[in-house]
Amino acid sequence: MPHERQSPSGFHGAFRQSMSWFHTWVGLLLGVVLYFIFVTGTTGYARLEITRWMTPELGKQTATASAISHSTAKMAEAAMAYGLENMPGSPVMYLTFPTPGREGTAPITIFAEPPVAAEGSETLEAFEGQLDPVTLQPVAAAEVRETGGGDTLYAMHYNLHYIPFESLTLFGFTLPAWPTLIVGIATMFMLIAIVTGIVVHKKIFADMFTFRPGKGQRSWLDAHNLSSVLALPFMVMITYSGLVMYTYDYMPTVKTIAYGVEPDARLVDCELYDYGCAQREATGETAQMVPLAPMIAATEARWPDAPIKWVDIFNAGDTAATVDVWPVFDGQIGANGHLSFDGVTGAEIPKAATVTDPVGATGDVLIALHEGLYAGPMLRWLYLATGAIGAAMVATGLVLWTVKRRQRLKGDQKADFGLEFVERTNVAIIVGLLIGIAAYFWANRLLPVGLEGRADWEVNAMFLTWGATFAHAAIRPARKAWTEQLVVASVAYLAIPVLNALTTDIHLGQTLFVAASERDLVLASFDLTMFVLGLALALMLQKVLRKSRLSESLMESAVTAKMQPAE
Amino acid sequence: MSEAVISSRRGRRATVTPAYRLEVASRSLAAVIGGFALASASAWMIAAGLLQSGLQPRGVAIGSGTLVSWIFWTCGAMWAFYAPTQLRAWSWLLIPAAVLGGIGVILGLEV
Repeated sequence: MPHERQSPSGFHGAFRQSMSWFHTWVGLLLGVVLYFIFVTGTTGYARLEITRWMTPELGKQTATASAISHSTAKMAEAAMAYGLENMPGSPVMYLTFPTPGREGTAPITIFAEPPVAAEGSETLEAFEGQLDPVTLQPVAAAEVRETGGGDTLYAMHYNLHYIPFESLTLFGFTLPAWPTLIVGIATMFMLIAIVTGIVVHKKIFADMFTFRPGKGQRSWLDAHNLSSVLALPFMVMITYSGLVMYTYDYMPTVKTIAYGVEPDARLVDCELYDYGCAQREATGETAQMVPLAPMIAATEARWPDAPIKWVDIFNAGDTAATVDVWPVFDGQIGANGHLSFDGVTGAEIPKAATVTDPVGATGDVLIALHEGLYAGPMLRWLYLATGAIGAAMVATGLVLWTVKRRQRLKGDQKADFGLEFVERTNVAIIVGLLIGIAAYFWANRLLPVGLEGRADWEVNAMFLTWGATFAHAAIRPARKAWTEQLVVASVAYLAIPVLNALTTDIHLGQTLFVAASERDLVLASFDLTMFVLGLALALMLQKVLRKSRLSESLMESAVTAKMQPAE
Repeated sequence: MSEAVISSRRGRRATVTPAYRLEVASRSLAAVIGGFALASASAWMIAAGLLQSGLQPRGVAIGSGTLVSWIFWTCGAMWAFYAPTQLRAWSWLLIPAAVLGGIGVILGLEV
């Protein structure tokens, strides 16, 4: 193949080169998706803490409040009755309980699927309800603000929020749903970009300790290398485990070997996901459910250290009713398990032996690593930090692309459209998304409680704001856009503790600066983290300002130098 | 395009021709599409083989195949860039994919 490059073994010699090319362009094209995934995924990792902050009506979780004993049996009984009352004949009902440590008095949630509609009649909407875990009374919308909380933010990193969860069928194979597909492609490219990135490097170990600040392109490259190499094990783990989580969706042809082209969804759920194995076909005959308390006691006896988190009830109130009880294994990596019971007799349904296989265990460990639910407080902060480093890796990569091309311009050569475009969108991607997330928190405090579709409007506020930052970047010179958006971002985050103090009574004055027994460090950490984030953004702003002042003065001296001979 | 310059491995500067760009694009596609084909076929063969041999029950066999397939993809993607020529990049992804997939289908049909 005739090309003008001089290398002894043709393309082979340019191995690094073409990998670098791939790494650069894939990074640029998918940077926005990857940055979004890193930022929302990392933020969402603190979803329980964020949800607590976003429902201030639930109040503090002090040492005294934590002491309220959670009787899961009582909670489960009340939740099942509430679900049955509001959605009789529900084929599957999911009850979720607050775990004693992290969630405290967060509400119990009940989600009941509607019965399959008779021919000609419309399907009902699913029932969603909340119960107070202490009083066991329904939580009214007027008492606690409707919010997407941390869960919505967390789910964005794999459902991309607005993109419908629908899928294409190609040659009889169902492709993954659109959001899953987009995230999957970005993740696979990222895995390849990581591997090619490692190969492109000559001195991977040295890069871990190399940072030369204030040297333009070199510094950006160092920052990009440092962020990727420092958190490399995390990056490899989080991408590979992300793929494994949806492995049956991404490799859709494989399961046809065992299950045919039109698989029985229930069988697949049971054998591949160990989910709902015990459920049976509804008979249509009603039957009285036995109390859940003995089932919960049996599960607690089986795993004494794991609090009960979920109860799934299939065909509640039918003679074929079954109940799955799932504990949450905090602090134990890859631990998994649940017990199944007959809902009418209360007898335990023994499970097939497939559950303790090494493959399933490997998958469980990988998924556990990805979700990080096992981690204790210190490790949780480390997860947040490495996630943030991941976001920084993408961001510095995006900036590096523009800095490299800027430096290549000779003299007064004008930047082409592509460079201008990326320079501007970079601002709105990197800083704009952070402003958007701040808007999400602000909306939570400022939108009127009781507003119709309030939770949706919180998210809309986030994306409208993010959209506005793109418009802003489009009409402002790139450097001005950086400084202005950084000002907005840092003020937005610095002011969150203040906003919180003005609108609620779970502010730092109540959560931190009080007697030790009255403190709520989770809520206080949220305010403090926002404040620190604001400080970090202000620091970035200061750097950008100093840099632009420097280049202005350089330009001035160049102009004076040119003018002097004319005088 | 003549202004776009890359520095080659030896520090010389070479011009990026459209042919070069096309070749990198082709290799990138080989990495993604060829890699997926190889990964899918390997998953298919491993799963079908495990099922056929009776070593693992079906849910587990499918799990084994798909878990390992990602490594095939990553190695395939590396090969796409490492191969001396484009033709070899593509053919050494698609031929093994066809062979593994073929064995997988034959084994799978008997399950």
